[in-house]
Amino acid sequence: MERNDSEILSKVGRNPGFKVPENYFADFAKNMASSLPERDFTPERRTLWQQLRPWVYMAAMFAGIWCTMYVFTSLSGANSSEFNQSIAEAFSNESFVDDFVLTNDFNEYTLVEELYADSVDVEADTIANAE
Amino acid sequence: MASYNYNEPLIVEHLKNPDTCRKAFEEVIAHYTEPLYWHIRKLVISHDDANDILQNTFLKAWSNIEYFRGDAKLSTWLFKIATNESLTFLAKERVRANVDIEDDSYLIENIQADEWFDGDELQANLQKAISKLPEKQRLIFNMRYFDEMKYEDISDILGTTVGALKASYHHAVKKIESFFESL
Repeated sequence: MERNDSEILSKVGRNPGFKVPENYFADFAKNMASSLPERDFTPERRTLWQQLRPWVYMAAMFAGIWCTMYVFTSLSGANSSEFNQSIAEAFSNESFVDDFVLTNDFNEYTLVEELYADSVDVEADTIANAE
Repeated sequence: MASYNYNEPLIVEHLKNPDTCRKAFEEVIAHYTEPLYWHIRKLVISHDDANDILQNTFLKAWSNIEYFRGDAKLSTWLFKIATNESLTFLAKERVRANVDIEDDSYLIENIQADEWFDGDELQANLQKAISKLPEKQRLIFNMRYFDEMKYEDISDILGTTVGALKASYHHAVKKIESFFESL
């Protein structure tokens, strides 16, 4: 099959049959060279803001990340029992530690129930701490 | 192609230097005018269109010369620009003529009446057969058959694997053969 392909194309040859005006290539090259626009290859001078801009953007990005993390940490910390005054005081109570911590039966719900039973206002303490 | 001593590595070095860049680019123009013209002409058929596209090719290369770092061959870079300019031109022409991408036969409708075509009937028929090929196959066939370019060089210009190029060329030859059989 390859031989047949070659036979057909070999009849036609590799000349596409196009022609150009006389001296076309030499004239084109001469005219093209003379019509090239002037180029200024000196590096463009950058303003102070253009030089500082990437650093400012990077600083803003880190500040944003820091703010976001600070807000999340503050919000989750405010509701944590770690900052609850009543629970903190309860941990200084030896019998409380014996009952709930050493017996490994610590459960925040049970703890709050117990504190309510002891007439401690957990919710008021939590809100006061958050403020 | 120009017959004077053209030293491409030296030209590339001069292109990187602002003081010698213009002179070096003028040598590039002198050296590449003919091969780029034929590459474009075989795609767009018309001499006037090829002339315009060749001008645009050199202007585009000149305005982006600082981005040519010599990593690729200068010829590859110029042929890429010429190919892109030609394909962009053909796409605009297709929109203007409201024709399909797979058939550029409208380009050679009056080829034998073209003052810049002096081929015989066989050559005119070959151009008709080529114009019916899909764009990529036409491009590959022209570069391989008429310009006798290596598949590796075509691969660098078109960004297609050598295997795909070989397959594409094979399909193109089959279609041209079928076209001649149907005459």
